[in-house]
Amino acid sequence: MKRPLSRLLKSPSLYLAAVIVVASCAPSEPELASVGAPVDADVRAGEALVAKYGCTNCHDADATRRERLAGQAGPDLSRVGERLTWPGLVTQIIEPRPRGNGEFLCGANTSPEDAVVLANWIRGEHYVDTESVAVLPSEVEMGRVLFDSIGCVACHRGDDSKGGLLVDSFEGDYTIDSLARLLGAGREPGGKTWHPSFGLDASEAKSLASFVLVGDRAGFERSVGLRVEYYEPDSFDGGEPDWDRLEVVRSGVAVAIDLSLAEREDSFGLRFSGEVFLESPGSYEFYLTSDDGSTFDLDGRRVIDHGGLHGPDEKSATLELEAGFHPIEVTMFEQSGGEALSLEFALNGLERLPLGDLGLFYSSAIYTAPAQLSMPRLKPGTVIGADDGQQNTTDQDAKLMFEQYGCANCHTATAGERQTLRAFRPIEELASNAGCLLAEVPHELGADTLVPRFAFHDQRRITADLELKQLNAYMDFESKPAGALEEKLFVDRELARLNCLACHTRDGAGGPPDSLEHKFGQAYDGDDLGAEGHLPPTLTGVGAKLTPEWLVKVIAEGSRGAGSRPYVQVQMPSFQVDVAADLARALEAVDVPLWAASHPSREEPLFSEEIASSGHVLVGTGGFACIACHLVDGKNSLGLPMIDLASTTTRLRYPWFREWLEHPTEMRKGTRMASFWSEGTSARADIFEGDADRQIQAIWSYLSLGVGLPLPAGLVTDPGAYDLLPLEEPIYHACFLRDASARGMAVGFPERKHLAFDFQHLRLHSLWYGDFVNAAATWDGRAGGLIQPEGTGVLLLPEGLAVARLEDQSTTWPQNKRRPDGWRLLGHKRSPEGIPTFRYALGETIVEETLQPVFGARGHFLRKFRISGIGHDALFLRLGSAKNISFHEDTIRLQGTGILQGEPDGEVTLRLVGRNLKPAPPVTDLGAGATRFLLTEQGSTIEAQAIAGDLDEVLVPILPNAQGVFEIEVDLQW
Amino acid sequence: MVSLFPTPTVLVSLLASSVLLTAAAQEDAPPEPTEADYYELVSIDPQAGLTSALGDLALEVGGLCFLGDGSLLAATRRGEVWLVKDYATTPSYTLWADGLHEPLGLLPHNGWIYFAQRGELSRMRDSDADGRADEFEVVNEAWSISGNYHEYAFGPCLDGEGNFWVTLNRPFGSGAFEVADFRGWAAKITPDGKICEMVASGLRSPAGIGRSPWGELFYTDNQGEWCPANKLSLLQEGKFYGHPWGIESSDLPMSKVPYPIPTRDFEERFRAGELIPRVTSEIKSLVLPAIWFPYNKLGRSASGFDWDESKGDFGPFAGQLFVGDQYEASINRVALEQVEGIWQGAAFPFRHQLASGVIRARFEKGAEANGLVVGMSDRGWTSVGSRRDGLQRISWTGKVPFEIHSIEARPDGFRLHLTKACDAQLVTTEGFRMTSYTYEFHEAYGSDEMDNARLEIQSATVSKDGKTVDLVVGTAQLLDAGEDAEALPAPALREGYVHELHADCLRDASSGAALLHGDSYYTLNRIPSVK
Repeated sequence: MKRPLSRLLKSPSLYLAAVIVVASCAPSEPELASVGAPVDADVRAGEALVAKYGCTNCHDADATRRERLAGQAGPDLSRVGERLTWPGLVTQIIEPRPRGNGEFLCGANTSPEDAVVLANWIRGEHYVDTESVAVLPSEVEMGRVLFDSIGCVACHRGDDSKGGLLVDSFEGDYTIDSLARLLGAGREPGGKTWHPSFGLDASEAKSLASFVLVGDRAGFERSVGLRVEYYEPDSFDGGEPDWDRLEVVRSGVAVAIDLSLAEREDSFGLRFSGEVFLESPGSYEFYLTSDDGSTFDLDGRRVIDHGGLHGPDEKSATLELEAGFHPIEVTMFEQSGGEALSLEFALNGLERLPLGDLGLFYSSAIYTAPAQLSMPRLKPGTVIGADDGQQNTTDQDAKLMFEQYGCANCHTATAGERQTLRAFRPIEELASNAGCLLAEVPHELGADTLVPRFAFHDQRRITADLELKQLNAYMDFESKPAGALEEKLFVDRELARLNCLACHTRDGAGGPPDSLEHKFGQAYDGDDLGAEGHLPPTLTGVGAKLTPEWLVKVIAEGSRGAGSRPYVQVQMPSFQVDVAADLARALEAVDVPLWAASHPSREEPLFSEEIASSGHVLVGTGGFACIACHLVDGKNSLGLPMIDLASTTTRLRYPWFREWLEHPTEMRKGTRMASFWSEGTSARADIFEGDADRQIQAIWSYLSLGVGLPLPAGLVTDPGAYDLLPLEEPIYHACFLRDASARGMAVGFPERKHLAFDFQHLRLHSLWYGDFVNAAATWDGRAGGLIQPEGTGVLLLPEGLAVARLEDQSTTWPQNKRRPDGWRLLGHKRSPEGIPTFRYALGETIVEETLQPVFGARGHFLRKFRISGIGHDALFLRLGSAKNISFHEDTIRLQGTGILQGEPDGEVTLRLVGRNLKPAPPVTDLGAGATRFLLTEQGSTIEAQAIAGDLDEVLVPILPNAQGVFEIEVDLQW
Repeated sequence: MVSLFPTPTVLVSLLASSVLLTAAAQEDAPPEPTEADYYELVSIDPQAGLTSALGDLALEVGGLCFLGDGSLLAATRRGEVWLVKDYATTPSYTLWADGLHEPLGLLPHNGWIYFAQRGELSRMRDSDADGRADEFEVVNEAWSISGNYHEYAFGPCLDGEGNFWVTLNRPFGSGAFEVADFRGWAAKITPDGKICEMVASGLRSPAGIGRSPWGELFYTDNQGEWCPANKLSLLQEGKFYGHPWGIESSDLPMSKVPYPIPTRDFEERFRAGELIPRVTSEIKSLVLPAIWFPYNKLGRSASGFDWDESKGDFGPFAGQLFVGDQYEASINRVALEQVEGIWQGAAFPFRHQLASGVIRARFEKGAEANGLVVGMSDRGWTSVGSRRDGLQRISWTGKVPFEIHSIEARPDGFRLHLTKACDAQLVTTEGFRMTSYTYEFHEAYGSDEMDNARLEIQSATVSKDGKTVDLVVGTAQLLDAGEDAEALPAPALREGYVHELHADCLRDASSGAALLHGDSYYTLNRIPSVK
């Protein structure tokens, strides 16, 4: 039945050894400066460094160079006191320590006394206090794994001969909390730190901070029991206690999670923390009973929130957990009355046991920050030196110092935005090996000679010598480049400034050095995917490969927001949106013309459903079996976890895609991507005569349906999952239907548009697209759960039948939740293709309702009614009901809350197929501002009658034709 | 006092002799017969590579019927119906229908396939003969469901007048929708589907329903609250079967069964429990089972059943009843007899080691047919089977096993009919061990075996042909009086009691082999007054 995949996968060309591009730092050939003189590569790089390090914040440049040398500001120091500890801040001022490659390191070159004054003033009113935290080995371990896997090493490595990582220097300069905040802060794209964001959540950030600050240096002794803190506040005010603000009455070690440490019956709280050791992996159900509120966290995540005032109730939650140590925290508080606390677990549905039956541990390693520093800490505004007769120093003096040392040139501080308050010599007049480029900057307190102290010579930075060489070369170069900055140079500089080439290659440069390659792991634990599985994609030609929107999104949101390679371990961080936009624009400007010059021009194909449905065949196992390796709209492939095809047209430009499909190995040596049009001949000659152009257009056309696209044939549900995939024919699934009845029928179609019919209430319940249903509720174990649409764009039909007998036009539509008297279900029929016709009746009147999905994007169905045996009663068909109904030419638009699940402004359009019915003047006396439109042959042709009522509706009178039958077909789209 | 069990010295000698026997067996003695020597099990597996909605084909068979051309239809609990052609030789599966709501019975009738779904009695057919059912019609939708997993509907089963009978499970826990009436009832629907009457109440989990060759309907129910052990009962209109779950529906118009007791406080009255024989005097409409299947001795969950109407093609048990067990993955055998108008009889183990929990067991109909096809699933309720689901066929190998064919109640004891002559020389009164017990009717789950007595066999008389043994039961001693107490005398035979017999001394006259199954369980509702 299935095409053997092994044949596809074992093709030797797919197993070509990966070719790792070896990093080289020098551009292939020198660029010409705009002024015409030849420019050495070092000069060019030096110029980039001048911009990167913001030299022009201090050294002005003449008008021809000012723009091309414009650099970045220093970090905003207005809240630095909340990041750095006291010694961290003072050290940063006196002698900056390298923490990452490419980082700009600046010290103020002050006397220690001035540093204290300066630091005291900079840190402001709010600053981190002394912290002493018990560090859990499992948290540090989690942090180590993150550090090694997400790509921290790319920037934070030092000279391997001198200890490797640069992270050692963080110790004491941050608290675990403050560093975690910093690491997590950039979660929002454009978060206000220099550091790019990896979108770490609070737990990940804390683990990473613990590793960075503690690392291997703490002696990790585990002791039996949990740390416990006991509180006795006057009251909890019934809410969630803010534990960090409460005073600890007593603390110690507990071997069980219970109330034995409580010393009174009311108004007390307990907080347990430590690790639990799980001997075996499995499904752990936890049961937390408390009176009053309690919480249970595991691996830094809230597992059970049992807060508030309540009696001894139980709450439970189930987690799939790995064996090993897991950090836990349990809190409970008792306001008044009875009190209780127990935490139990059951592994794989076995016996319930107290959590204490598992091993509970706490760590004896304590991280303390800040370390003692000889320099005193002062309250803001303190006058120092008053007693020993020296000059008094005040806030005003400190602010002046901030300006005089030149800090204000780069940094915004509490006192105000940065501005050039102290001018240094202009760029053009600078010499090599002088001023701040000197190894030993003399410390002289004189306004003219005082220079900041940079870490250019710090040998722990592996780029130190190179950067000095480049900066000196630039300073020595007589005819410094001038004029506007070329796009290409801007790209180069931005890639250098953001350190993109630490991970990526572009035009043969960059990429991780051999010594780091082992840190670039593969997140997929199956076959080794070679370079594609370990390294981020090359940036060569990326501006011609990715759509402008996607390029911005990738830079601004990184892997978390725009990741497409789940199998690569290293994560793309996110940068500020404006940075992303500028870089993306420049990449496009540089790369697109280059691409155009060397490739035939390709027009993006126009979408047609017919072409797209051929593409649908080509992607499935009946075609090229792309799904052998690629995910499709979140569904796993049959083998590898390669890029999700549903994102293709969002991510890629057509010309690049066109080339990639036909010549993958030419474009990327060592790729596993198969070529299906070798020498212009397609493996599927029966579709479009095997023409590569048309076949690739068809695939593109199909993939342009994007999220929710019809799934290709041959996909299979993951083992153990109950995700129903209608691929080649509809699937009928009888079920208990949520918000409907116990007699539901869900029908899923290969078009990936689905419906649910409520047999009890004789009505179409919902239509949706994307995923169908998860059958676990009906098929897993004893089942008995409720089925609901799993996809998106869930169109909810109004309650009540589609057909009703009304006394007259102004009778309100029957709203009863029960089936109205006299109506009965007859059953349903299925066409040979599996299209359903639901049949129900009122006396002799038989309603047949057919629902046929239409191939294409989003929601689209044809809904047909055939009503026979019509008597003399006034019968009406309700086409739709909504907050707002309007008419435009032949289109009826339904709008407003309740039509599309979760979309307040949902909109559905209806068109009558082959009928020209028009709305009659609306009936508005239905009460509550509701408006009813009757569609008739004689109706007015007025367009855009939008009247907002409570529940507007469109009806059609059911009038029999000569054969005594009424038929109507509605095209429904949303 | 006669000991039921061998003393240690006897054990030693038994061990010694079995060692000798084993040594001898290595030389020339044939191996002990097994069930498989007489009844062969063959799996009816789908062709390789066939997949279903979830990739794997879960053949959780809940309904089964034969189409008369060597093919069958199997309805699964996943709502799929598979057409299996040439199932007895080279099975090939095709999907014939899907989207049925947990169908638990299939009935070909009038050109349609009738089936009960959770919410309705339905029928379907393949009107354009393209191999797929395309018309699905409601026959009757008069009963309600609340959306609880245990609201199963079993059947339908046709009665002599062409009415459809469906049995409805009671729910456990609440449903997502409104409370349903008539759960735990049997529904009778007229041939045209127009009228549905609720004709029997008090059912718990009536997993099997079937029509006997003589036209009466029977059903099986599962042990639980108000159902002390698995049972097989005659299903009759207007009767009550013990479970009070749905008896409030007695007052509704569709009901044909009154509330079981005049005081209308059923649950309070019986919650604490009372022995079965005594309950019957108070609840006039209560039907006692024809057969009790003692828990763990004959499985744990009685399910589908069928009569062997093959007149000998399935071996020596023609006319008898074969009842599936879901937990034990087994088939039990039942030989019914009617005494003074009341059905009762003996149940025997028959065939073990089916692949999974038995839900349906149906005899093939037709000239060539001689097999019992079994549909299985253990989803939600564990079974000892090695697989989760499947279809198997049991066929007779042609060899007659040495078994008790049937047991006939006599005024003073029991007559055992054997399938083959026994060795009369070896028959002794001590060679039979017999006990009797009944159950307590109460709200708690199941029941212990109550009021146990040990029966002394006064005489054991073998007929001339060696195929009949008459047992006369002498005295009986109650065993529940405590270990040290002197056993109390009891009536020899007791109505409303299961009489459990272990016929250790019966040996095949020709081979010397013991009975294939030495244990049997006779449910004695009436002691016949004359021989």
